[in-house]
Amino acid sequence: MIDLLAAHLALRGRATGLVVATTGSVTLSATPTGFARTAGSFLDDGFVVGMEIASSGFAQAANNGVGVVVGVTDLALTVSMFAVSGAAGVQTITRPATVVDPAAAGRTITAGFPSFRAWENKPLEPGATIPYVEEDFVPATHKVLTAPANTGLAEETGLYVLKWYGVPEIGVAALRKSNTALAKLFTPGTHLAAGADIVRMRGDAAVVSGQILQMSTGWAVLKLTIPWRAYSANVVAP
Amino acid sequence: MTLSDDIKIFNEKIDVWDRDVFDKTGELIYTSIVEGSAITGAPGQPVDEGGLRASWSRVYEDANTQLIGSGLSSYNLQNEDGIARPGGGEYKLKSPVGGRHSVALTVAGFGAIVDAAKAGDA
Repeated sequence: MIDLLAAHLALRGRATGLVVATTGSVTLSATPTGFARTAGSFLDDGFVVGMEIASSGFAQAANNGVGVVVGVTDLALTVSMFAVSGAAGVQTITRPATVVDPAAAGRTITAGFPSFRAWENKPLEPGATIPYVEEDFVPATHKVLTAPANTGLAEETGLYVLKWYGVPEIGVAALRKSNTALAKLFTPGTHLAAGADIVRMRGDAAVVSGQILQMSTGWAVLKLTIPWRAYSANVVAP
Repeated sequence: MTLSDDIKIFNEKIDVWDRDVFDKTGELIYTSIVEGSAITGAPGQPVDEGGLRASWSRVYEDANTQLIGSGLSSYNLQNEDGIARPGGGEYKLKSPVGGRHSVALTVAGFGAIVDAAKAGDA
């Protein structure tokens, strides 16, 4: 049978590598409300309100971090930066503003996988209006397809479910674009190394996105369900 | 007996076989969602006082349509995906039996369910 921990971590690793939108390495400046540019377009790069971004390459340390987009034009990205200290239960979230940082090259802003992650069996204390993700790794079936039992081909299937909690009442763009980009990482035929085995994204029951659910207490959530399959050589223990 | 008679008998047998597979498929889907299934890996519905499992039903809308569903929409949904309703956030499992994603696992295992129904080995 496959190494299920390796499979779980492979799927998780694939998800955390998500890039929904990025400026690439370009010339950017920082302002007291976020980031600015004189060429190119934040809108064309794919940024929308509600996405969590990570900024890097700025001279002022306060401008390198994470935040949530609260406004977008071609040349300005308005961002509510945040910083987290302490563990869940005693964590503190601060909202430091960006500081003026003259334009320079080699700077990047990327919207990707949320930094708040409710991994299985780990605590998470979400921050208000900061997106977060919950995961469920669900091994399901296991059977041997070929004889002899020892060395025969074994098949395992299961689901990997990601629940993306986003900023409510801002429309569907941030959640839907993020979810779609995430789904594209798990299209049928995608292979992931999981230890000595390979986890394959199924085609007969393929990755599927859900409905955006607006919850009553401040979140909108969108689920992605990823069916997977893996083959291994069955080993009969002596 | 003519060739026509043979074909008629064959078709009647096929019709009966189709009906058996259809009935068995619905039965296996219902069982997978409610009680769990080795065919799909679905854990089945959690049990506290039994209300959730009892809420699921399987009925024939007509000869060619089976409806499988639960009347406890909110309670059922949060037990399916673990998203607490109406507030959001994690909905923690309180039952030692059953689990999450039984509907999704049953959908993903539909092909295996039909294969089992055809084989008559479930």
